[in-house]
Amino acid sequence: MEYDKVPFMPENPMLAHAYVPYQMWSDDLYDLKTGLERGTIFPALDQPMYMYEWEGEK
Amino acid sequence: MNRNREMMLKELMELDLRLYDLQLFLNTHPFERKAVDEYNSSANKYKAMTQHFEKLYGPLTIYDKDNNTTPWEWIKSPWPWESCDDMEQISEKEVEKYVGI
Repeated sequence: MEYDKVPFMPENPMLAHAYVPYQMWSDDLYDLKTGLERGTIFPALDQPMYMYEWEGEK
Repeated sequence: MNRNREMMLKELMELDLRLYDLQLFLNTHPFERKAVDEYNSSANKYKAMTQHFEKLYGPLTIYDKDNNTTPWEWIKSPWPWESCDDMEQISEKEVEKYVGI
């Protein structure tokens, strides 16, 4: 596995397969205090469960 | 409990989380130079803070290089359940009283 050449998403995705985007480094890390509070130092990964709550049929 | 001691422990927890998260990131991104730098600077802070803490309040873990003192160093800091406000740093005299030596 060549870790230094992993693309954000696969270049030739196959139908019916699911893919997870590869995390890219970003300098906007949380500060120490916020990191412990949020449980991650990466703002991009700060995704609390309520984000996915079903809000009923629209 | 000693305010400063509690604050330092909290800061150590924050640094610990940061180190662990960077560690996880580096598992899958070992070529990311900035993450390596970030890890090392946090690790240095953690090390310095640990040493400072241990100088003031005694050992953080039992696995330390120097456990060679009498009374046994480990007993000097509060037990995990002794975290209330009235908890003060125990003096050596009190330790002797508790341990019965």
